[in-house]
Amino acid sequence: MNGLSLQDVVVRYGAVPAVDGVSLDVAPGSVVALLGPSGCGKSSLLRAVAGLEPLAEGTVSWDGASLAGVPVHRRGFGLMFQDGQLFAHRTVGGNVAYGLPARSAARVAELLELVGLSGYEDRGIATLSGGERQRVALARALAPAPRLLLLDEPLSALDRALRERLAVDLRAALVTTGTTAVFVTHDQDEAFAVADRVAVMAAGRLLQVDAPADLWVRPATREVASFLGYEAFVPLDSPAAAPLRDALDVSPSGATLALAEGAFVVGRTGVAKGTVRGVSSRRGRSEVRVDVDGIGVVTALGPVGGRWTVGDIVELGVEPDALAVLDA
Amino acid sequence: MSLSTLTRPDVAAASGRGRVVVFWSAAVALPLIFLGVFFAWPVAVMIAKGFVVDGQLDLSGFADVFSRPRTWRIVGLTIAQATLGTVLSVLLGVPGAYVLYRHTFRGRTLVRAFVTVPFVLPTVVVGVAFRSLLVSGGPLGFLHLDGTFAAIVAALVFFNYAVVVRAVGGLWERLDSRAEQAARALGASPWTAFRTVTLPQLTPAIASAASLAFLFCATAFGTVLVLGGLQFGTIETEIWIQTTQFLDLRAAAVLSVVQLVVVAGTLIVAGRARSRREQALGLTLPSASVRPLRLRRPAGMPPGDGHALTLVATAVTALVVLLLALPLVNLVVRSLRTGDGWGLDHYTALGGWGTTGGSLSVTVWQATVNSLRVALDATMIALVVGGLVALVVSRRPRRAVGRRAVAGLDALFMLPLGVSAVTVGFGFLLSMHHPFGLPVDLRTSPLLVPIAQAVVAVPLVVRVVLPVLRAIDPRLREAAATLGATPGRVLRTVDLSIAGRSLGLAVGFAFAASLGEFGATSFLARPDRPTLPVVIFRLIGRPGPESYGMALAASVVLAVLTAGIVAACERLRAPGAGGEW
Repeated sequence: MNGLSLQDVVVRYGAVPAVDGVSLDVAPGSVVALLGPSGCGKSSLLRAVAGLEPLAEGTVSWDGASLAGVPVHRRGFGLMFQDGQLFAHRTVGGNVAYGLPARSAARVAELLELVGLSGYEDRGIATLSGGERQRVALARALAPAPRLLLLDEPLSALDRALRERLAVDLRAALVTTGTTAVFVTHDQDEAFAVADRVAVMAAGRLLQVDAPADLWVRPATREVASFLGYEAFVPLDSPAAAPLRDALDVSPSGATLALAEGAFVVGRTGVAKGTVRGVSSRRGRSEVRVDVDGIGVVTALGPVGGRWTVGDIVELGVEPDALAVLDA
Repeated sequence: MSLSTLTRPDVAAASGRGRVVVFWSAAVALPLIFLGVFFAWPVAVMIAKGFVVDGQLDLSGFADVFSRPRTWRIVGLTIAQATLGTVLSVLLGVPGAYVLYRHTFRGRTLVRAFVTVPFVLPTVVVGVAFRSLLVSGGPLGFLHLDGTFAAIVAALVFFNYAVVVRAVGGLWERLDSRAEQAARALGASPWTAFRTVTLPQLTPAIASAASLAFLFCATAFGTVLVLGGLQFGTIETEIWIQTTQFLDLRAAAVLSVVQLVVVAGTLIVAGRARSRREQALGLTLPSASVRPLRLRRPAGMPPGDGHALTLVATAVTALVVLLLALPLVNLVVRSLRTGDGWGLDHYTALGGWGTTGGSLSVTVWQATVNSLRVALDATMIALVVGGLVALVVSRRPRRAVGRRAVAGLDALFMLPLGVSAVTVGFGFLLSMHHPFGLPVDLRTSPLLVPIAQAVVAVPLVVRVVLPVLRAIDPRLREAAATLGATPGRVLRTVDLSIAGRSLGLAVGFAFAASLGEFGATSFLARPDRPTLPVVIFRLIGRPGPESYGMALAASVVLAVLTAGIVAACERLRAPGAGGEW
């Protein structure tokens, strides 16, 4: 097996397992996101791969060779933290050059250019904005050309607009350099934007590993689906699910149907009815909280400028892309 | 309420502002007057005695004193002792801080408290404890270190180890370990990561601790006087010898100035280091970076991952703790040894007047009560003055002039920490007889000794309370003000209530400092009302094993008293409220 391979990895803090038997392969050149709520053990798993947490059980290996006896600094794995952890007593250039042999000015310049900070070599860390700091941290981590880059929530400390822009830049930098990477995040948009494959974790276990699109269309369990943002679940054979079955063109069975935000659309030709419970607006579109008989309160999308008041009965159409059938 | 304040709200506002101005003026003026009358004036009088001859300024004393080989020997000795003592304290203290503040283990609280004990011990007791360890016939007598340079340096390290451990450990335990981990992931070995990342982050704390340790070493008096005999000394003991033995006030004045220069230089370095402290450091809660201490390599941790470094630091620290315990345990053991076996004879003798070599004029127990009474008064004075200084210095005025004034005030009140206590004490004797031409003789006032001790204790109070006040988020005060609190109420409910948590430690240190104060007190204590350190010093000077045994027993009493009071006070403070101590 080439690349990173985790076999039944267990990490314990005292008696409590933070990571509980995780197996995962990361092929060379690919980017895998570990996605999960805070406290699910994703950061502990990342630290175990880096060699910062001892393994209680299982193995971490690279290109088939176990890393059990290899200390952190000999693993050749880069590490990037949420708040950069830049060395305040060094300049930008000094930070990027830290992992490089002496006289690597050309390589430092090359990396600063890659992250869009050409000419920043002599700037002090204190003069940088939050986004610039994370770019320097990325350049520093990429500088020694690590065989694997581990990113621990690298964008979480930034504001939303910056985060979305940097996610794109991060993906570009990883692809340009052909870096194999494991990326920890609790933000699914970030995971989907950066990673080739997404591994969903909860309570120390891996729930599902898939490409972003597959993960969205076929969440393996109700737990994965709710973490991805599916907000309501109905048995496929219940009477209330009939219009949804028609939209998906599936027959009734024991499976469960998951509804994401926008599974119902207000104002299209009505196949169902709901009572308005509240209205809000996000980026111009109306989000209408509607109570649908037999399903519960869900978020339906409405056209720009729609006006409803609480208690109105509205007609609802169905958007099949926001529905998923769960086997379990 | 009068009609005018109802109809003229601007008048009410103005009187409120007036009260604020009056309060802050008093907060600045009171400590300044105190320091002026009881520190600057006596020191100036003492120094003037050396340089003013028949009303004429005469600086020939400098040339005279500096042409004596003895002066150069003493200055050289002072600097050599202080440098060696400081370097050793740092070299041993940094691993100590790592073990005691970056790790958890059973009994850590106890070890931390124990390590602090030497720092609060009266210097005379430290001297006696080391002597009893090193004299021929003592447990380490075979090393022949009694009365040597090495013995003095060892005693200085004994005293200053805690300064480094506490200051460095306090920062280290909050230091985010992820910066070091980032370095490790970039290919740095544990040692390289420590050297290139952690050490630079700790440098301000180390520099600040080192300059304090240097200050304490360079001005050491009681310890050096007891251990050094006539052969070794510091500028401070030399001032004492010149004043009391040779009655050469000119030489004493010149040496006081020399010491002032050394102290001022060190304080400037310390101030710089402190102001750079916590510069953009990644700080976390201690719980996030502290790990259990393991002697065996944990399962799953590869070799070469820093475990060896931890082991070395642990071994060094264990050895240091043993060495720290040695003089203390030995002191207690020796105080229990009588001529023909073991017993409490020396302790029983503390109730008597002493039989050989002249009377003490008071019993040791009377001296103890006197010491406690004096220390209580000194602590009260030091708390009021030091608290006001800390309050004023913790402000950050908008204008640059104001900020500079605040910084100047901060440095000014550190001076008593380093200026020769002997100079202060002798200066008191010279200046308090008809002070400023007033027809009173303050030399007989029972307040003289507490005031002199308070002068020494004020800097300690400031250093303990100030970091706590400075750490208060200004937005907390703004929030209180927007909720309608007057400036006075903000001060009471925010500043004072938060700083109050560090008050226990401040009281403890002030009390310990005045209980153990010897330099100034040895001049000022009236013969019929000596303090405990003065009595111990008298006992050492008297011949006979009985007096020596009494000195040992009295030292144990003083040590237990001091350590007990500091421990009790430290229990009162909230965790993490000690600032850099």
